[in-house]
Amino acid sequence: MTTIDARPATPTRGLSHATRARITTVLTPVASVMAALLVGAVLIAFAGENPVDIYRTMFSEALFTRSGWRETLLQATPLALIAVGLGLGFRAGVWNIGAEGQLIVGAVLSIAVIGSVNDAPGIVLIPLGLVLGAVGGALWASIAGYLAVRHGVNTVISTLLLVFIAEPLLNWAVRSPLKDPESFLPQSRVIGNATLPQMGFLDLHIGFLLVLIVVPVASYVLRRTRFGFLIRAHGGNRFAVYANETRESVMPMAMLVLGGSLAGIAGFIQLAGVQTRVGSGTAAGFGFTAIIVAILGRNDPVGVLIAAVALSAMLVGAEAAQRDSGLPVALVQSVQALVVIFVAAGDAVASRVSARRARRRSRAVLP
Amino acid sequence: MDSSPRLRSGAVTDASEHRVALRVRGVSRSFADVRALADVDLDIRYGEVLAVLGENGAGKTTLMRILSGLDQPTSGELYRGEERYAPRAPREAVEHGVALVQQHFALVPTMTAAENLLLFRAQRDRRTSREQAARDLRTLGADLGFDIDPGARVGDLSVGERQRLELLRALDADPEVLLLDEPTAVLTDAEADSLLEVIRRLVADSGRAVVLITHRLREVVTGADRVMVLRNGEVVSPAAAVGERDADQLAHEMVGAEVPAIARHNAARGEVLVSVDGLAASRLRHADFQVHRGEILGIAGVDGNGQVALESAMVGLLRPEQGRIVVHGKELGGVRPRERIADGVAYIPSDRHERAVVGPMRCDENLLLGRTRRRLRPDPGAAEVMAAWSVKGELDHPADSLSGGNAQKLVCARELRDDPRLVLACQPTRGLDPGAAGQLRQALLDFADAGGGVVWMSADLDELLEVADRIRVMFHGRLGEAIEPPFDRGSIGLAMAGVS
Ligand SMILES: Nc1ncnc2c1ncn2[C@@H]1O[C@H](COP(=O)(O)OP(=O)(O)OP(=O)(O)O)[C@@H](O)[C@H]1O
Ligand SMILES: [Mg+2]
Repeated sequence: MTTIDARPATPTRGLSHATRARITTVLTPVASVMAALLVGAVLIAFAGENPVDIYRTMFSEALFTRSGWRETLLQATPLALIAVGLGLGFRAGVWNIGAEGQLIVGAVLSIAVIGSVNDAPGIVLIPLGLVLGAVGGALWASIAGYLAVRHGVNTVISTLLLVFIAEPLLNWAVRSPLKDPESFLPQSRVIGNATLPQMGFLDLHIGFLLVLIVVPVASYVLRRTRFGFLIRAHGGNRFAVYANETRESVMPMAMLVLGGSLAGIAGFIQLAGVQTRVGSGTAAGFGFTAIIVAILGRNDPVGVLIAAVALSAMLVGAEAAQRDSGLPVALVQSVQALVVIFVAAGDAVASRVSARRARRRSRAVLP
Repeated sequence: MDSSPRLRSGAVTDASEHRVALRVRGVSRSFADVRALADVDLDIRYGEVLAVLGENGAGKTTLMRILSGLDQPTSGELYRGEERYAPRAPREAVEHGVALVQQHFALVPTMTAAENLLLFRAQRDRRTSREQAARDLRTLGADLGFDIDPGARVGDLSVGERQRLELLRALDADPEVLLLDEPTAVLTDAEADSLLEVIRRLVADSGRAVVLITHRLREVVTGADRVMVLRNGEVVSPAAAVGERDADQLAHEMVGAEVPAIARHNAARGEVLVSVDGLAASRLRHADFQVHRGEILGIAGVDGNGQVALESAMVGLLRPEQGRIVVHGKELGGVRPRERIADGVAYIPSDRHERAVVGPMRCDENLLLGRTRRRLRPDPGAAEVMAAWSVKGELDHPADSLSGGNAQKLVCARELRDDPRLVLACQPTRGLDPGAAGQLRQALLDFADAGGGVVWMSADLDELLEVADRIRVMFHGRLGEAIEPPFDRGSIGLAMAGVS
C-alpha cells in the first residue's frame, strides 16, 4: 500500500482531541464577538457615524478610565452572579429564562423585611438581605419548578411568564405597601444601614467580592462534586440519571432554585450597592442580559465571569459613545443581539469546519 | 494505484462472477490516536450477502458509516462501479443508491410509521402527502410480506416491528447497496430468521448487494454468501465464500482463539432474595416470582410482552399499579435509585443508551454513575476494570466514542463491580461479540456461584437454556409457571409464541 498512504500510524500528533476541542470552545465566541463588531461597524456607518471613532470612544472609555473600569465591574457583578446560576442550569438542560423576575422578587422581599428592621447594624442587615434575596428568588423560581415537576409545564414558558407577573407585583408594591411616604415617586424607602460598603481604589461595593467567591466555588462544584456530576449527567442524558442517581424531580427543581437564588442575591446587591431603593429601575434587564452572558461564557463559571466583564465593558463603552457622539441606543442593542447570533452561528460553522478538515485529509491522498 | 483487485480470491470463483457494486481501497479512519480502521480493502458485489464479522470495536460500524456518508475516511478511497465515490452525507449516499440501517434505532418514537418514512426522504421528495406515504409503506411492506400499520406510533411498536420499519425506510429509496448494521441483534431467533429470509429474497429477486453485520455466527452460515473478518480495524480474513465453514470455525477466525465454554460450579440455592407478588404495571399484567440466593431465574419471551414494564418496575422507574417487590426484606417500590444501588441491586438495562450511559461524559465518569460520593475523586481502579472487561476505549474519552458492544461492556463492568446482591440483567449480551458474551455469561454464573441472585431477561432462548436454573416465560404481560430443568426447548419456544 505504498502508493496511497504515507501518513504515520498516529496522524494527529501534537494536540490531543480534548485540547483541540477546548481551543475551539474558546476561540469561537471570541471570533463571533469580532464578527459582530464588524457588522456593527457597518450599521454605525449606515447611521452616518464613523465606526472607527465610535469604537475608539467605546474602548478607551471602558479600558482606560477609572470610572470606566468601575462602571464595568459594577455592571458585571449582577450579570456574572445570575449567569453562573443560569449557566449551570443550562448545563443540566434545565432552561430558566426568567431570572429577571427572580431578581425582582428577591429585591422586593429583602426591602420589605429590611425596611421594617432598619435600625439594626449593617453587619446583621447585609447577610440578612443576601439570604432574603436568595429566598425570594428561589421561591419565585420554584413555582416554575413545581409546575414542571408536577404538571410537566415547560420551564422556558413558565419562567418567562413569571417575569410578567413579577413586574406588576413590583409596581404595585412600590406604590402601596412598600412606598416611601416621604417621596412622590413610586419607590420604596432607602435600604439604609444595609447599604453595601465600598472598597478599594475603584470605590466598588463589596458585591463584586461575592462574584470572586461564587465563580471559583461554582467551578469547583461543577468539576469535583457529586452535584456537579449530576448537573453534567442530567444535561448529557437525564434518563440515565433517573435510572441510577436521583428521582426525576430533583435536578430540575435544584437547578431552578439555584438559579433563582443567585438572581435574587443579585437583586439585593443591586438594591443595596447601587440603587439604594426598589423602584421601577429595579428591573433593569440584567436577568435577560445574563442569558446572553451564560451562552457567551459557555455555561462555565469562569467563562461566564470573562463574558460578563467583556459584555459590560461593551455596554459601558456604548454608553460613552452615546453620550459623546449621540450613538442611538438601539444600535448598541443590535450589536448585542448580533453577538448572540454570531456565537450560535459560530458553533455551527466550527463543527462544519472540523468535518471539512476530515474530508480534506481524505482528499489530500488522492493519487 | 493498481487496478487489479488485490483480494486473494481462493474460493471466490463463483462469487466473483458478480459485478462489483462498491469497492473499498485502503480505507483508514483514525480518531485522535485511536485507529478504528487500518487500510481496509473490500469488494461488495451485486447479488450476494456479504457478512462482516469482528469483535466489539473491530471497526464494523465505522466502515458502514463511511460507506453511507455519515463519516469520512482519514485516507483511502471508495468506488461505486468505476466512479470515485466520496459521500459527504447520507443523502449523497442515497443518491448513489447506498442505504444504511444503523446499529441503533434512528426512528422518531413520537411520530407514526408513515411520518418516519417521510422524514427520512430527501427534501424534494418529502412533499408527498401522509396518505401517499402510508400507501407507499404498505406497498413496500406487502412486497416483503411485512404487515405494518402506517398509522401506528413508532413508540408503540415492538422492537421487531421497529426493525422491520427501519428496513423499509432504507428500502424506500430503492437502493442497490443495502448496509445492515446488526439488524438482528434485538430479534428472537424466529424473527431473525424471517428477516434473513427477506434479505435473501432482496438479493435473489433484484440482485441487490447486501452487507450484513452480525454477532450471531449461525446467521452467517445460513444467510450469507461471503464473509469477511475484521480485527482491530484490519482485515484479518478477506471476503471469501462462507462455503463449508461452520459457526465454530468462524468464531475461531474472529477471536483468534477458541471461545471457552462456560460452566456453573455451585448450584446450591439459598434463602429467598427477591419476592415479587401480584405485580402489575403498564403492559405487565401479572407477575409472581421469587429468586433465591445463588439462583439464576431466566425470563424468556419475545420483546414487547411486558419485559420493559417488569424491568422498569423492579428498579422503581415505573410505579406498580398492584402488588409489591421485596428485595432482601425491603420493599423496592418508591426506592431512590442510589438507595437501590447501595442495597446491592445492580441493573443492566435492555436499553443501555437511554438508561445506563451518559454519552457526552468520559468513560471513567460513566463508571461512577450511581456510585458517586459527595466529593468526586479520581478512581484509581477505573483503568483496571476497563481492562478486565477488555473495554476498547480511552478512560478520558466520552462514552459516545465507544462501539456499541464496548458501551455494553462498560455498563456490565460498572454494575458487577461493587459486589451486588442481585443483578437484574436485561438482554445483557445483546450486541456483544461471542467472546465478550461468553465472558459476561461466565461472570454472571460466577456471581450466582458465590451466592448472588440473578434475574436474566432474554429473547435469546438458547442463552437462557444454557445459563438459567429455572425459566419462566413472559407472554402478553403474564409470567408463566416456573419451568425446571431439564428444559424442553420445543415447549418453551411454543410458550414464547403463546401456545401452551
Ligand atoms: N467518534 C469516535 N471517537 C473516538 N473513537 C471512536 C469513535 N467512533 C469509533 N471509535 C472507535 O473506533 C473503534 C471501532 O468502533 P466501531 O463502532 O466501528 O466498532 P464495531 O466493530 O461496530 O463494534 P460493535 O460490535 O461493538 O458495534 C472503537 O475502538 C471505537 O472506540
Ligand atoms: Mg458496531
